[in-house]
Amino acid sequence: MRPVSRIWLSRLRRNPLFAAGTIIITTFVILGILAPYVAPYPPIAVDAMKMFQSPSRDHLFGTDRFGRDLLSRVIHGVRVSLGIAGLSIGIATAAGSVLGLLAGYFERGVDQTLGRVMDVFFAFPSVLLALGISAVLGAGVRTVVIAIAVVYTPLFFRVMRASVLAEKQLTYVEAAASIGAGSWKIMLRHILPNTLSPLIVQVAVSLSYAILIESALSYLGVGVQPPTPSWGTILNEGKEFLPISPWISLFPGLFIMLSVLGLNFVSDGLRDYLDPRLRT
Amino acid sequence: MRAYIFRRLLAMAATLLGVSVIVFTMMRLIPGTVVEQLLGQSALVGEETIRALREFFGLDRPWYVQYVDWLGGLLRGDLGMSWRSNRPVLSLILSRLPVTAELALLAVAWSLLIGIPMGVVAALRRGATLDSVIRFASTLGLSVPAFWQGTLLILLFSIYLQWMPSIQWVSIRENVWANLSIIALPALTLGTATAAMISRMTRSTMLDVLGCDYVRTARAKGLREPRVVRHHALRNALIPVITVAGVQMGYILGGIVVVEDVFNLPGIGRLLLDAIFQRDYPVVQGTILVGAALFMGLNFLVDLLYAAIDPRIQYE
Repeated sequence: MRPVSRIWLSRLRRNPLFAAGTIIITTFVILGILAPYVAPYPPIAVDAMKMFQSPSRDHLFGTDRFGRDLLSRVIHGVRVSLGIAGLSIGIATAAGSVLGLLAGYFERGVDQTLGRVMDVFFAFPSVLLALGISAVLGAGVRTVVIAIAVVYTPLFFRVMRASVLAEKQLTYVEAAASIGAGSWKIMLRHILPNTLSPLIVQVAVSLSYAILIESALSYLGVGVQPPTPSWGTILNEGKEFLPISPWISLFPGLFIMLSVLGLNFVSDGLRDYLDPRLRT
Repeated sequence: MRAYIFRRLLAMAATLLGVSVIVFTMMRLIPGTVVEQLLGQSALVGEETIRALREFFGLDRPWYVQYVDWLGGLLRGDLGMSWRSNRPVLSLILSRLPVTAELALLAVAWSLLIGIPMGVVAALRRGATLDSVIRFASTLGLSVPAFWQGTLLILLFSIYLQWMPSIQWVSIRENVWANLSIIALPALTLGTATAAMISRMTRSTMLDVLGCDYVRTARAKGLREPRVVRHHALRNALIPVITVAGVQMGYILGGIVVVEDVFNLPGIGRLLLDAIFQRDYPVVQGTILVGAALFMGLNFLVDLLYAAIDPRIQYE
């Protein structure tokens, strides 16, 4: 397999949507990292003289009911929303693939037990499970991360388990075993690298859903709590003022859509390349 | 087939048991018990009252006795009582069911109605501008958060176009027109992502099928293109789309909470959300449990439908 960076470059040239997605996501990541330097105002700076101002040269996205600059809040929101998505999917990927690797490799008891547990988590519609977790743990960043990680672990478990089961049938595994490689070595050195393609596609898809779930929970008021600026939280705060200052609800939603769109372009492009069977 | 159905039902019962354990455990993880939650900050209540209340709620018994007792109730259709309204949770859910069911059905209907033709057209015009437009539109549909789409629709219709449906819920039996004018935008919002998903899936299965030998045979024997598409290609292309519709049920059930909140509809999603805010845990517990059971049941029905439509699929 060629290094990921090379694959990425070759796709960029051939697939304009993939290129667009990569540019959007890269821009957002940089924006998130540099948020404090890029944002014109601090995200929680209250200014009673400037409440509900419509977009202007001083405040490109307008201000909210506390006179806070919305552009600054949305830029800091990149950090919160992408950070939560990255962290929670990172946890889910790690947990799900370790368990999936074990279940797929050892089968029998391990597979039976883990499989049943994962089936149970799969039985919940994802938003309902996330809502339940947030009802139990109380709203907040930590809760949202846990909720999304719990919702997505079974998915990575299934993806990983399925590809391990398929790889195990292949001759190279038999070859490794016949020259005396142990279970762990076969699993980590031989099987794991070959399961990465479907996993990478799944990570990209799941990141976009994670952004949607986080913003939905925050919009409903059970996710990230004010004054922390996540895109969903800003939309939640704009809800009551929709008729008088619609711009509060406009920009954060646009950013959610752009980031999810970017991730969808990237995951479609990766899928076409890495997993041609699922081409859409 | 009968044996398959029986086995699936058995597996579903086992999973549902697991679901009940998780929901029960989750509710017990909440800091403080019913008693503390209900009493709140009132520290004036004596030890005696607290003990009496704990006994009243059965909290003095070990957790496994409480679980078995609760499970027994579930089997008799008793989901417990709401702490706030003092009504049975099941009757609360049933009273909200018509709103949610109508919303979900309309959303599914609209997503099929728009998604399938879009997918078919895109596949037939593969590589043309129309294909690109449809593919872009479906990716966009997948990326728009439902609550934002809903917000934009409200903004457009009620604020700029002054088109104001009644704020009060009107059931379809009272007044069909008023009911539809309330539920049209929510159903449109809820169905968008599913329509996008179905359009993408239809396009890709149509492309697979159009490349098959039997489609070439149909064309070779001189059938007209519309007939080839409708009778030979589409019928087979739609079979895998049904499974996607099943998976999408989970999305729709979750999306209901969001959409009912945006449009202020008195459905089950609203019930769940209010219960979370009011710490009315029996209602939270009951709605999540019913949601999971519905999701499993719908997926089971989709699997059966799949088998009924495609004679190649045999379940032992």
